[in-house]
Amino acid sequence: MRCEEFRDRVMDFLEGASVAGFREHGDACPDCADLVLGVEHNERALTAARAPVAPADLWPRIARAIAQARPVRFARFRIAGFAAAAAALVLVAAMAFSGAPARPGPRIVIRKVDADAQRSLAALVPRYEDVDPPTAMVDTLLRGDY
Amino acid sequence: MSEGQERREAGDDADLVQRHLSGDPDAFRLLYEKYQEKVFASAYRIVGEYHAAADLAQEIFVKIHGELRTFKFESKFSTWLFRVAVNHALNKAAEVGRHARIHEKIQREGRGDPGGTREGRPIDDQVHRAIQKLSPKLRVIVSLRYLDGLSYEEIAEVLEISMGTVKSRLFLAHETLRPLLKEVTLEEPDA
Repeated sequence: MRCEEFRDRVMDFLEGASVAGFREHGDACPDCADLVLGVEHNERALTAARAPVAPADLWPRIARAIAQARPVRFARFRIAGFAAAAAALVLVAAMAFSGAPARPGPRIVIRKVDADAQRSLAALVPRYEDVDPPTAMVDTLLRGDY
Repeated sequence: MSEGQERREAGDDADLVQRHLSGDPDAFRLLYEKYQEKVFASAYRIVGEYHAAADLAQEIFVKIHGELRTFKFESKFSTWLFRVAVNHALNKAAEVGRHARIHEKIQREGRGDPGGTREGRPIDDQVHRAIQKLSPKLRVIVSLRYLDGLSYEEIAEVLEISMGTVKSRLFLAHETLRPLLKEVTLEEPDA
């Protein structure tokens, strides 16, 4: 085994793999033996060293960040929409049945009534002189006595 | 860790993920408690500064919370978690590195706080400073191997690289660390 191959296989050897000729080369080559000792020393130091513990308020910070970042789901929009529609219906119903004074119904307006038509209407319904001709006509039609 | 224990742990994690996805409000907290120490320590090794690591760990857990629905249960939860954490840390490493160097300078000048609540030993500081001399990619691989205790195979899965790349990066990291850790005195294990 040459030094280059030895270096390529160091990590395998340290992981416990059986590498043919590895030990023999290490025994014969001081540089490669040093390399293995150095890596082993590194491994012990890296394993022994400890990192500091996380701050105590890490979880509260995470929980707060999650709560703030949580998007409003589509389902919530739908529920909110249904709720708004229901509220509007309730409001309309409450207004309708709240006992407010009844408003007059819509008036029938005939926009174009020429002079002849007015005369014929008046002739048709002579006894309704105290009301306007269109109202008299509708009333007459409904009674069927024209 | 034995194979049976490992399988049990993976099952526990998957169960917690399922519970979280089903709306159990405590499940994510339990996952956090299980992994917070490792995630924070990895973040600390990668960005090199205590407060930046705390910010990074927070971001990682918020990201994990947001992406948990994409977890496919095809790999171990821990592998997925480390992948999300490491990728996020690597993306942030350059950004926070500048801030960390300023903070380190303040600490060197004796005006900063030591960070953390665990009493630091000389070896902790020596190893930490040595790791900071590595590139972010090598810091990640050292952290996964010696802090999180992952096998070469697990590291390859987390980083989505070949086993050969894992070994060559680890070897490169050791070559860089050798002169830096040479003077570190290791405590003799208690008899």
